[in-house]
Amino acid sequence: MENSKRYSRQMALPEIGNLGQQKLLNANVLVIGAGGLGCPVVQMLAASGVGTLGIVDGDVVDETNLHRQLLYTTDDCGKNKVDVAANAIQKTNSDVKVNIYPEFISESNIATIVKDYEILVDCTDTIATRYLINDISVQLGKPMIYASIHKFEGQISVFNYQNGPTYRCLFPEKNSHEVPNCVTTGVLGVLPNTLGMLQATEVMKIILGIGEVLSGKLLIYNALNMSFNELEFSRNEEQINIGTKNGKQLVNSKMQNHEVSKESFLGFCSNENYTIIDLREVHEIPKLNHKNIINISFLEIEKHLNKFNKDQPIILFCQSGIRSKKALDLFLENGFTNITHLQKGIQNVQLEVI
Amino acid sequence: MTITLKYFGLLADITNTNEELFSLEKSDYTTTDLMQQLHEKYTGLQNVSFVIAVNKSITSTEMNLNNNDTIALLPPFAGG
Repeated sequence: MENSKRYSRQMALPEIGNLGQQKLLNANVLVIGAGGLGCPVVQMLAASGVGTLGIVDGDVVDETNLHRQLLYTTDDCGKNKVDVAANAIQKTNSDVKVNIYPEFISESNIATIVKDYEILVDCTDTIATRYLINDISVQLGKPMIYASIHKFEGQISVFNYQNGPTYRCLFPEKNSHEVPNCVTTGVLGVLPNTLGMLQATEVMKIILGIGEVLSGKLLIYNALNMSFNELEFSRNEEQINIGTKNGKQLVNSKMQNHEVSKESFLGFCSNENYTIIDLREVHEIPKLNHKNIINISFLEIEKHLNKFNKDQPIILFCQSGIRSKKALDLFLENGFTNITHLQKGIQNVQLEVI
Repeated sequence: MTITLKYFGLLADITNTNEELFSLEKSDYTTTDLMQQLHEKYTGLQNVSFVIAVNKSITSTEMNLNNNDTIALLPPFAGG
């Protein structure tokens, strides 16, 4: 690793070491919302060496943000949050590749934005958006790290982690009354930072595969009496079906771009939730060795379609992206809903880190 | 029997407390009965959606309550 001095203190932990740091470097994490929760999440993950961070936010920096959103300074007021955040991260740690999306997450962009990421961090401030993130995470099988705040209290949980319960299992959607956000109720500056740090902790544990992830449990923190309450909840099949159905619509509703970028591909290679199909012939190099990569020649692939579940996350690749694109169309015609291919093929990927 | 009620988020604003003891005269009492009584005591609850946890486990079905149970009332938070 080029810059191991930077990470030496965390690599000194036997649970992390060289391999763990490599896992962090290969990981792709999407942070949705760059406000009170999003700032600490982004700062901590960048400093820790998470290799690719996506940041989604359509807002500009406002003076009222500055008491709690520590990525931004007085001079940044009026600028796009994602631009300022990307610059700040480059100064913190230039190892990190940052993708920015200067837009609010919505039904029309969510499926396209999330597809390049393994882990989704919900740092938004409206309930409707949380259902949207939940539904895409259920359909695409990605864990969602949730937190939200109310005055001096905060909630955090990890949804859809290894088929664990989802946001809808905890809070089934009702014809709900508007729930107040920070603008109307006020917020103590430290509170979202505390919750964001907890979210970043869960993200790192998931990437590293260590500890016990906060799945099926909701942690409620109260800053005023410094209390932590933990409540348990379980899968609700009816609610999961609602999430899957909505998620499917989100994926199919738009002209979806079914391409995985070269930057995010390596992260998926070490994520066993994804099946990666190498469509090349046996003599083609370089070879990729990961447990979740299987080799099925392009000429044979049609015969093997029935081996796969139509909802399972699959990524196709070949040498230059031509065979994988043809195979992608074949999978799509056969009703597969969670299929993508590597844009421009493996020849376009820098392999020294594999 | 006596149960402990815990209120979170907006619900603590409505009830003006984080926690209170609640005495019930009858011995066969369910979560539905309790909600009815709480809605009468705190009319503001009618405008808020929340879930309930009996002894730290969130439940969507009606349950019988026992002496010394702790019932948490929990709304989703929106802020971020």
